[in-house]
Amino acid sequence: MAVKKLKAFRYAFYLLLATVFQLLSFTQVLSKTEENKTSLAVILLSFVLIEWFYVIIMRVTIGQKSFELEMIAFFLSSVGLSIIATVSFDFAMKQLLYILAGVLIFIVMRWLIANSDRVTYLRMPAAIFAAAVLAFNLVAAQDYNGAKNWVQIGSFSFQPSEFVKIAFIFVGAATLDKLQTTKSVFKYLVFAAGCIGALFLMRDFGTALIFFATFLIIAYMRSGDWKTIAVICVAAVLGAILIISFKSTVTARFATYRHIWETPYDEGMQQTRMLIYSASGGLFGVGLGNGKLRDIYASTTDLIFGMVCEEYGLVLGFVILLTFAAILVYTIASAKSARTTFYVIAACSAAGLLLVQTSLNVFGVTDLLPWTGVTLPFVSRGGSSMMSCWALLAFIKSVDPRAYPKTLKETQMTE
Amino acid sequence: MTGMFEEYVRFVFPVLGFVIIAGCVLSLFFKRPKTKTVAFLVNSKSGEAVPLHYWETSIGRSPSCDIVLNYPTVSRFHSVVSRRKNTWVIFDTGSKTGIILNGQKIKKKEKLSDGDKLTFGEASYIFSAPDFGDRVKGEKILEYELISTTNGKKFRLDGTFFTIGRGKDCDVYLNLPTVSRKHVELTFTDGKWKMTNFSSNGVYVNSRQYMKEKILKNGDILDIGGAKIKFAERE
Repeated sequence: MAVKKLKAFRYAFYLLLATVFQLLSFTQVLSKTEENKTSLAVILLSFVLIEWFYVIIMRVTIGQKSFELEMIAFFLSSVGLSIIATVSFDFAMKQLLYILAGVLIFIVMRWLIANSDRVTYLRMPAAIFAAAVLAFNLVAAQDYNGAKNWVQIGSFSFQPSEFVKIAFIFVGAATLDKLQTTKSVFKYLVFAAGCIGALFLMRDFGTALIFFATFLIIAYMRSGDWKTIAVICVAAVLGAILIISFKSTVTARFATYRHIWETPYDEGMQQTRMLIYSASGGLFGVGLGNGKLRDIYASTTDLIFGMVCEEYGLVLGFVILLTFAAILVYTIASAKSARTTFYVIAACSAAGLLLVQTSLNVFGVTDLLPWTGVTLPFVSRGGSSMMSCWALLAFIKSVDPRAYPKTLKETQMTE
Repeated sequence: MTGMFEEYVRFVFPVLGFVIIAGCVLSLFFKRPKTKTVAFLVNSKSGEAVPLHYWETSIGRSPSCDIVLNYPTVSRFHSVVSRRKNTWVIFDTGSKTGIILNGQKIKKKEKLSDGDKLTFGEASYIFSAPDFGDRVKGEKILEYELISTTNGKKFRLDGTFFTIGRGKDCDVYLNLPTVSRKHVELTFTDGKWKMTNFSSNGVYVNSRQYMKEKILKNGDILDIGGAKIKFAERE
């Protein structure tokens, strides 16, 4: 009985371990900082407080017992925050606020999707929201590194396509009765083609590719038809070849792919440095704040995987990579116990999206795939990305029926 | 001092990171929720109870349906039975012959209550989910619980199917050497709780040994391998 009681508090053990990891990281960060030491210490400790506060609140209010997904997200966020804090105090302060906003969005999303009737009604507004946001993006966005995907309002800038990811899954997922009455994925195909087309117009190819992969997952889960998926893939590949061939701006963006070592002081600068420095960190890294990749442009955004490998070591880098694959496998394995098909589709596509995004980031910066400039989920610096990642985590969380306060009473007797 | 801390702590990070991530991932896999029976469709002719394990169950002639009804009058994707927040709903998913609910053909979807009679083509079933659904106003709903006579611990019978035994996967876990891994099954059918014995020693109900089945009544005392449990109406 005592062992069973202890097992129920297993999450507390991992929470303690994560806190030890974070405090050790933060101590090292502070030892490397000379300015704003006290303020930075407050920021870093605030992160630990947010983490503990979340766990305690959820445990007390809704009696939640499993926190594994949140622990993984907090852990990854802390790795990113530690690295960012060694680079800039301002970046660290903003990143903490983004994480806090992400956690709040996660809580709101969990509440929003808890009711399967509500999610059914919200699908149409979500589609309208996605279309409106992308249209606004096309009109109001500024050119940034060759892509027109950033919108600036006053001193506040954000990437609208990150929020469309949430709506994209919302619209794609459906309950079983809907799937059986509307077997065709044509309507969703039109919606997805609109979103991906808008992203192409923005020249945000990385996000377009993520959306396309997510669409394939959703389309397969909705129709179960390999033939339709194959036809869509062939059409997409042909379309992509045509665009790359005839649009010079696109061709230029892919020109450095597999040629980075021919221009190590020009276009290939970031990737060649990333490869050299991440390998030089060895298995256990050179220590926080001791890396050289930090001096390269976009080191805390697109190249943060390199910084993790250089400063924390390759072991942790690979662990982070495998984490996203494990989350997808877990989601698929748990699909059977999900409350409705909506949650199964939403969770699998969200987990697939995060894995595709991670792969594009890591394989892009290592020149295994064309570099498309997408972020590493939960780790990279950036508000839109951080918030959308936490929102996507809410979809993954929804696959477990015990995540809902309403059903807690029904299941707690059998645990 | 700082140099030494930095030198050693870099070896700690990957180890801690690996333990945290591996622990969380393993916990995710091993603590996955189990599927359990949430309702039944009882065949009107044979009395066979088909358990519904999911919140959404598809019914039709297609082999990909959760419940396959191999009748020519049943469409390939005939219907979906879905559990909502406080009720059950049945959807007609474009069937040719429709769904008859208590003698009336439904249009698109209809709420379901415990004891409703459903007809899909030539197949007729009684829907059984005693803990959900709209009931007739004023009708008293009997809810039961199991109470340990030794320590007074209560276990609410909020579902339709429960297992009692020494196995850790049992709904009611009795850690006694005299209790079998799966000793007893409690099933709610036709408005009554039925006890089915799976052990070699049997179950004593009010001091009388039962080796097979027994319909339970309010106040019955069950002796399961020495553990005495009262079956009682919930207060």
